[in-house]
Amino acid sequence: MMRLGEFLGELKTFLKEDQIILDREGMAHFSYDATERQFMPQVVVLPNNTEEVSKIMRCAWKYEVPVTPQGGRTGLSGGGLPVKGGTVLSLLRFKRIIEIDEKNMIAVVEPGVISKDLQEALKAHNLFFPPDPSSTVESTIGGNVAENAGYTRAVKYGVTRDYVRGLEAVLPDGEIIHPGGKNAKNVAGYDLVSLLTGSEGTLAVITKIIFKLLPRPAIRRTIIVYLNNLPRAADIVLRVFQAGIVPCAIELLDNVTINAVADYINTPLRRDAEALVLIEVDGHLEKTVNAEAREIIPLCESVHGVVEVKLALDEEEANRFWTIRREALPALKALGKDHFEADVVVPHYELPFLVKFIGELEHGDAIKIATFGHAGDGNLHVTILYRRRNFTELDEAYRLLETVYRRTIEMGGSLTGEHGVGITVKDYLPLQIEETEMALMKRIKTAFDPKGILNPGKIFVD
Amino acid sequence: MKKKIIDEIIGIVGKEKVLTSPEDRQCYAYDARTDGVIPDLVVFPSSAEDVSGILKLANRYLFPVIPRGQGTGLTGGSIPLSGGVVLVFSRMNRILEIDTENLIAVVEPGVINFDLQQEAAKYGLFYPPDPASYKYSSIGGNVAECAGGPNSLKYGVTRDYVLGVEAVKPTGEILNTGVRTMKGVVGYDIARLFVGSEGTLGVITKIILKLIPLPEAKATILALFQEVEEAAEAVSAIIAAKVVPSTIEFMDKASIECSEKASPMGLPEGIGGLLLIEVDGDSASIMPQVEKIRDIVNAKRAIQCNVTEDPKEADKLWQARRALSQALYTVNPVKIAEDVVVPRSRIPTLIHALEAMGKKFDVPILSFGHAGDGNFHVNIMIKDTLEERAKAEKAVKEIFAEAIRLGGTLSGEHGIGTSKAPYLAMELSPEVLETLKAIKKLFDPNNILNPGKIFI
Repeated sequence: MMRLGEFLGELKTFLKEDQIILDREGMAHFSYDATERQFMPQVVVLPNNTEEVSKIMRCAWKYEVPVTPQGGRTGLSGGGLPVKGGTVLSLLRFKRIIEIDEKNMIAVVEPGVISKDLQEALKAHNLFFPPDPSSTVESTIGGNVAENAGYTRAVKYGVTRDYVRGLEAVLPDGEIIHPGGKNAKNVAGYDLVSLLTGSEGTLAVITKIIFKLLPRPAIRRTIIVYLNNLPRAADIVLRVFQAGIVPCAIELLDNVTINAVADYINTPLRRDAEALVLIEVDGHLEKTVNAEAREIIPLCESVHGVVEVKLALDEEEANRFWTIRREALPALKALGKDHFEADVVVPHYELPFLVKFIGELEHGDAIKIATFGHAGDGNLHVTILYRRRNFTELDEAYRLLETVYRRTIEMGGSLTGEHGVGITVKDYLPLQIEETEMALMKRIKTAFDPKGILNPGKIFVD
Repeated sequence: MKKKIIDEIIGIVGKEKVLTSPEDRQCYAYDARTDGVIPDLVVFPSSAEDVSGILKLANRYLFPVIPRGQGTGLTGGSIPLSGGVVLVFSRMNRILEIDTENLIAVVEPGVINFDLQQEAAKYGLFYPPDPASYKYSSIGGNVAECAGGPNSLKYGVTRDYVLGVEAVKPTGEILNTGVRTMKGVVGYDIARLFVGSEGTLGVITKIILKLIPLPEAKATILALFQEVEEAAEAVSAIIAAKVVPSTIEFMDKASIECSEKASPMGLPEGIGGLLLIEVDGDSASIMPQVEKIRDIVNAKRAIQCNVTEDPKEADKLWQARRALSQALYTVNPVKIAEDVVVPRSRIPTLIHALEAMGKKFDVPILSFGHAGDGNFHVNIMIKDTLEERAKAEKAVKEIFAEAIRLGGTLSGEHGIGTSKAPYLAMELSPEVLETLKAIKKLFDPNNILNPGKIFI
């Protein structure tokens, strides 16, 4: 049973006053994330260092208080929400970039560092950290690791996990562990680094991360393609791969998304297009990158339904193209409706079929479905726009969501490519994960956290 | 093991899938480095169901089960330590699927690495992990050990290519985990937990692998240096110059001399360090990469630098490196091989420490390996005497201590198995070890699957 009073009493013996938030107004700030759902914590703590996190966990362990680790609250599956009350453990004060080791191409950072700040710091060293989620301006590195975030460049560069070499983490009972390290390879014991990455803050609190870096690619070429046929847009992905080219990004926006963006920001866009595809190639040699771009352009032009192909003339135009993609979700949110966002991913070859399936879904006029996302790795964000207060629409939205999930699984896909399970996907998990595997995951959770105090209510159905 | 149990196993899998005679079983008692004990039975399963049946029995009668690929491992991962049943996967050797649309291969664990590479190449596709044993070792073993290879520098290790596995839990349930997609964050990453778990958490019966487009062209560069520091500095400078070669292999002075003596390729005398570098990519990108590397090695005072794009010529440049594994035995008959890793910037420090240790313990130490990712194969060559073995053991312990002091690890690609198990606590804290043991216990409560590995 939770003994909150004693927990608070003990916290005050080692935390300063400004590290403990108890007033409702102050706590409200930590009660929601990008899912737009709200859960009030009973207390918010802001530790400054690993020792404090360890002490907080020890207290929480002793007094059985739920602890929800939290980063920049940009999550899309509710991973950082205190659904069972207790304390939010905010890592916003873990802001230091501890080391940029050029010789070994490694960065050592604290989890509260904002993705964009790390990117900026690396520029000066001509180094590159590819994981760059759409939320890059606000999301914290710790959250990205906890959710194993993807991003537009994942087609070529892989996901966050592919860059995590080592961690410092605090276990639910307060013990501090340091799995992995700076080394390029390491097979000493089980791969705890991979296990903790993407575990959504349910196994340990990450307090330090050792990342692998890459040389910064000097050259990029960005191509925008408009089509009057949505499934054909997905064909482009297949054609590009078949040509043996691995672009760093292939992004897709459907007509609903294009129009939402056109309403939201002031930028020239073809509103009548059924699809917009953004392709980017990058590399270190101008000659190679240009050659790839030159190969992609006619290849796109030969796809049926393509009405325009345009190569960005300069960096400024490329950035403008990217703004269209980055503003997709904010633009859809600005439509003022409620939404479900299914973060489904299918094998490449199925992508045209999935897109077609979604396009043909029957639904009432009040509901809109917007599809956009990382077509290059088969990852789409299917956004169902409806009004929560209208029960007919709510019923229909749930029905559509489940239909999309079921079709995804039939196609050999996955329910979430990069957002995580959290609270939004957990009820659907049995569609994908067999009981044996689910039981195994639960036992892993129990092995790490026998009292169930760390981020309870996530991934597993109670 | 009682005859009754053996009969029961034969009842499950059929007589044609087992070996029972002592001579036959003897062949499965050792791997490429370590001798174990003779297993009570050798089984060649042909399905996950066979494996599941045996594991269920194992939990009832409590006998050890040891999964084995081709037995090319270097840390004893596949050897029996106290009898039991060895599962050999040579019959489950089908490439089930090369999916050219989704760039995926689905294989059974007994497929030989080389065969998969050949098959993928037919479709213009590429499976990069290439351990030195790639012509003989099986994908199942590669996955169990998370094998690396020269290509790891640019392309990463086996883990980076495993999207999903079918595995049988030690308690017998068949598990399908992972994805066929490029991404997937549904729950904990169980698939990758199996990778590198050395056959202690489950028996892998099917593997879904990511493939990538086969690079169009390749060039090979051989650079020789007077001083080992110059070679090490060249490695750092190449990486710093934003060139990422697919391979940077290094040989130290002792290795070069040894190889040259056994299989002369006419290298000049007194070379302190040798680098073999390969770059790949589309044809247009090859020469610019080569030029950059040539400039760098020359600036680091290379005394010779050969470049070729011709595969036959490349084979010649690789001669010294390829001949080395066998040539080592001309120094002494027993090889103690370790594969430590250090952060790249600590390479020169490690090389000097190794030289000093060879002198201190009076044993020949030859090192070579994947310099690009800081992974060194350290070979202590000794005579087969107790005294020499004792010296080597002391040297190994100091080498590990030095690697860890430099922020490195005990094993980059060979695993822990039995040979490094006594040293694991030098690297992992008690808290981490406890966590690993807890994971082992929850997968395998009766400790029947590959017992005695990783943990003492």
